[in-house]
Amino acid sequence: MKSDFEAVYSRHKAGIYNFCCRVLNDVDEAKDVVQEVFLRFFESPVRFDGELPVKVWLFRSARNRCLNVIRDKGKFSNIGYESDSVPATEAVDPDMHDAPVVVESLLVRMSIDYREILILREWNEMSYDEIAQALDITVPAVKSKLFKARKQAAAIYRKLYGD
Amino acid sequence: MNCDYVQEQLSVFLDREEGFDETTLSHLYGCKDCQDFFSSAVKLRALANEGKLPYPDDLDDAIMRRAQRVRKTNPLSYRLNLPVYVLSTVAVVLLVVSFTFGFVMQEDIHQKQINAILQAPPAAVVYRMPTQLVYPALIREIKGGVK
Repeated sequence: MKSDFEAVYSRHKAGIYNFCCRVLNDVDEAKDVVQEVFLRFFESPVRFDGELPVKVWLFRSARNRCLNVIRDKGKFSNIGYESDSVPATEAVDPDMHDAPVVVESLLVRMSIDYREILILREWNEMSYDEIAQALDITVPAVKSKLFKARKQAAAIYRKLYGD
Repeated sequence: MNCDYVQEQLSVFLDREEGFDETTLSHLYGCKDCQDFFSSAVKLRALANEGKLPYPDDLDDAIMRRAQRVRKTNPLSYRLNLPVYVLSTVAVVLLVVSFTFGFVMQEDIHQKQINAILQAPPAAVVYRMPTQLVYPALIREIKGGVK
């Protein structure tokens, strides 16, 4: 019979890994963060007091660690995104690329706060309540940020691949 | 109607969350910008469904190995799968019970001591005159004086 830890790990590992990879855009750093998140969960069950669902606790922990990595590396340069800052390229057919490549090219150009909320919603299918808890913001703020994130993603997509 | 408001509502509609304002749909039929926003949001969702990264197998081994190591280094640790508030309540109840039990026992001991004194038979107290010490030189003087 699987332990509680193994059950939680196998249920959420793919989501946490995808989140970290997409936010950090670096597989090795993402692997390190995933290890830290799950070992922290394994080592200190007292910290998990049941107020937060496990999924939210894990994503909040992963998010905080990713932000620390980004801050340490000084990667906050794209935080003040403007659509004009994306270089206009000759329109490329997105069907020529794999979906992960297209996604990466979009996300890497997005500002970090829009990127993370979009990943939580689109890749991890979290509800607005869960996202609000994970990011420590209100539900109306989640609605507003998601709309702006989608708008930003659409603008970048048009710049890169045309309509 | 404001396009930003409509697009925010379309975002809510796409996520099937509560609070969608249906009146925005009438705006959508006649607004190219909002139609473009909605179609790009749908396209992004399709990309997200296809663009999930496979989980690396080596990460499974690494995490399980490190978890085993943590478990071995803490042989005395024991995980109680109880919420904190249950443990706190149990601790408070134990504290109250121990204090109450201590007070009751103390009262009982005092009562037993009082009963033992009251039930004891009456005792006779014998007083005697204090003894006076007389030194040998003084005795001789006394005896000489007598002579």
